[in-house]
Amino acid sequence: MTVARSLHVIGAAVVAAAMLLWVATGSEGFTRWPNERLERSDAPITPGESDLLAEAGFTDEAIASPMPNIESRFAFGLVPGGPDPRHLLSLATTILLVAVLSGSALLWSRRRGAHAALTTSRAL
Amino acid sequence: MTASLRCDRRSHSLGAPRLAIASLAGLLPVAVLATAAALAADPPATKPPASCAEPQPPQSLPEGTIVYRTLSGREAQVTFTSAAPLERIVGKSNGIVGFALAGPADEPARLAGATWVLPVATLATGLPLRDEHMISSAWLDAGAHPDIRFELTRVDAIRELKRGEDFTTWSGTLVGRMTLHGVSREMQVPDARFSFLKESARTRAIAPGNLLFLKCDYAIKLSDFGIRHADVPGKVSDSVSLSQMLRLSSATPDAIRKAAPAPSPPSATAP
Repeated sequence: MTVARSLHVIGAAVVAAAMLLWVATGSEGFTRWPNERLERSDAPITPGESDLLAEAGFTDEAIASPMPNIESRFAFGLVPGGPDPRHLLSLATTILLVAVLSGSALLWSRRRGAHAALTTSRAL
Repeated sequence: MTASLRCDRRSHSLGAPRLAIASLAGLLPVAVLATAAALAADPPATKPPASCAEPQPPQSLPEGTIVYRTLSGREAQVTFTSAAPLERIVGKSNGIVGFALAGPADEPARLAGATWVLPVATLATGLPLRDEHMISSAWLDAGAHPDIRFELTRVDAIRELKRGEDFTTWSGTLVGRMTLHGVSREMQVPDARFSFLKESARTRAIAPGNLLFLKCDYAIKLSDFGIRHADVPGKVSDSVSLSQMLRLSSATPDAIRKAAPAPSPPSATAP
């Protein structure tokens, strides 16, 4: 297998892995990492509180819908979540990097093939 | 012919890098635009305080009025959601401070008044860059308006839902004034849920004193409070949903502080 072809295969594998990582970490829009500010904005509910409120009828009926939540965790996003290096990781930047490398390899191998054909025809 | 071949080889050996550079030159603008769009920055925000002075109840209160003080710095008290076509944003805060004045003994849900204040700088969405944008002058402008304030004037449509030996649970409509981004508006929050619990061994695991739990869900429009931005409504919804769960205690502030869990260590990323 030529170098260019190897690059294409590796690139495709990297993109596939990146897509799997994106799905596995919640298919979020922006890459994010564990965030201390988010961690400080919440705390585990005191044990026993839920039972207490359930007995008091606080959680009865449709009104008692759970609060939406966001956890402090890593999520590999569709696009970068910030300008710092770890937030630049994303599906889009991965695809872009692979596309650049594969595209360069493709163009180089085509150019090389065209030159080889020209050399051969002149020799003949 | 050899010389011409040599010339061809030299031109070819310079041609591959040129092609690579050309392909990069073609793709880079796309990459730059996409990354720039993702990282579109508003003017850097000044750092407002992450806490504020706790509002105090009036000096003179009718005899027997029970003052409930908000327990903050613990579980999340408010979660907001912006569901826009291009982006869904969820954020939360446990920085709400304030008080509520219970109503008469037979109808404590008829609150005699309440004031709650949320420091804007305590809102967190999980993305440092987005948090900076949120408090910038283009959005909530925390530098000029560091707090979001709600002052309750009355509770309407009060309905008792359940009563027990040590508790009563009610629903009602909160009526009051919300101040956000320097703009004050009358607001009604229907279907708020209140539970008043007398102090017991089980409630002391949460906090000393009698407890009041207050839950409500409502929505506000950013445009109603003078917040307008090119990202609305594509990336940020004009209508933001809020879900609140407040825990309040009738204990004194000192008793609450003594019984509070140990604070988490400060971080380098603290605002």
